[in-house]
Amino acid sequence: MSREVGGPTSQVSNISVCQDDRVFDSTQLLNIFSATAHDAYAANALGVCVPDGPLTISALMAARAAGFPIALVPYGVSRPRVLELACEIGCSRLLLGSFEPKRSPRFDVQVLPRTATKAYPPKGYCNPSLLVLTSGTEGKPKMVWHSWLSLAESVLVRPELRSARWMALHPLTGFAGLNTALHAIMNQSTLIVPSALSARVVEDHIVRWKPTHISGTPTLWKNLLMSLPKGLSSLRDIQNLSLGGEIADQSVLSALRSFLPSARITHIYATTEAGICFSVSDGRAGFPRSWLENPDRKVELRVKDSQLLVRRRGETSSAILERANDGWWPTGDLVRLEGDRVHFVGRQSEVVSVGGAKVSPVEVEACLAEIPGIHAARVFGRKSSLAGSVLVAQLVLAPQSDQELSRRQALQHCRSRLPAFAVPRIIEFVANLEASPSGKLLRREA
Amino acid sequence: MAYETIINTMAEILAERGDKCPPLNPQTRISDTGLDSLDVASLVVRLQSSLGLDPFADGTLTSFPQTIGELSHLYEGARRPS
Repeated sequence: MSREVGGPTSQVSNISVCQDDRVFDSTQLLNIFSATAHDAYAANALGVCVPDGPLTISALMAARAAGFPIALVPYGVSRPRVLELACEIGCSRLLLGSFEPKRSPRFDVQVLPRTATKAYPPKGYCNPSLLVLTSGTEGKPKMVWHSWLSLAESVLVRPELRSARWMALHPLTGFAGLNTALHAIMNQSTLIVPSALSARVVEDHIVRWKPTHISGTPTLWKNLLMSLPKGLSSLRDIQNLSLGGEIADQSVLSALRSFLPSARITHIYATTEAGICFSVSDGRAGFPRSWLENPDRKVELRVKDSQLLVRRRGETSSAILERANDGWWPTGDLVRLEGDRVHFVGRQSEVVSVGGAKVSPVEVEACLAEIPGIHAARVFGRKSSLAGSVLVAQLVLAPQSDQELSRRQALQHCRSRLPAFAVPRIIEFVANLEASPSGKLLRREA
Repeated sequence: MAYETIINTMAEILAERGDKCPPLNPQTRISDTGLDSLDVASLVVRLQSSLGLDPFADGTLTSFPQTIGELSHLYEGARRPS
């Protein structure tokens, strides 16, 4: 089969990767690969499951330069499951790695039996370069091949971005984190990858490495907004903050606006299948209605039965090629048209049935977040023998907020704004909202 | 006692949103307590965690309780899962 060697930029990038107190330049990054994974150059398709950081970038750079397809498996997936996935994908080599803060990073290469699979090479898809897997915490993970060309389309390359320092607060194996990593690689700049996404480790990395461009999920930022010291001088270096991975509601956008007054704040809409579709920087939740049914957009947008559909021109992913004959991809994201704006109301799969009525948790969360003493909210259904589900709201209160008062305000506000079935009937208080490994708010009960 | 837990939980649901709790006794109809159907569903979810049982869940119910007394009998009659 034909392979596009190296993609659109096959020259070696001049990237550096910073993690904890260490910096790896591009020579070191490539050396990690040639010294410990040389055998992997023979890969038919290369599976990679390593902690986010120098190893991830080393493998990505080698795959791009040598032109072999690479599959990024989220770190944290159990070893037997990684092997199973790599075989399922059709990888002939699997690179593993672990966090060893004091030692030089190295790959551990596993040779896999080469078996014919459905996943590789993807039928009718001629440029499989990078396989993105969804976390697969529930059921079967989705696997989607992208080409370097289609991935590069959403990367902004500019001379002034050479001095940018990108900080990824998303896992590098998902679309949002990958996009940040590709910005650093293609602009030959610096990528900062915290060794963990806890508030303390993130703060340490901000202070030490002074990012100029930073990305993360709204859930992660809500947690950081409660823990990062407001006067932290390194925060002033942040020119650009992009939110992605889940819906950015107005409260997180407004809170970030006042927390980082001089930064450009953007929320990005991407799906595993369609890649980056658009980004919004006007400080408002949702996106302009005029973007719908606009044939001039690179990624066209349409609403059908309250669901957002997208269609990408030109190079696309294997999933879209397989499924849609006219190119329109159903995203599973529900939207509501309101004046000149399109608002996201949640995932089709998150809709809770309360006494037979359908409730979108995101809309209830947005309503709760309007109350001053409430910092963040998560809404989900708890199984009920009488009503199918009873709506539960878990609230994170701002410091000094009183629980009883906040509960009463929350219930009264929801009753005045929402239909009775959408008013949470159980209100609980938590210190933090639980996020999935990819930093997205979990709307299922543990 | 299931009865005490039930009336306390009913009062708690009403107090949480700042509503007054009417006087409750075993003869009070559940529909007269100020709780709507979803509040009752929430009451049953809460009782499941405090009393450890849900008599509505096993599908053996032949008639639904209408008064607090009937509801309380239902809980007293249901055996704890061993």
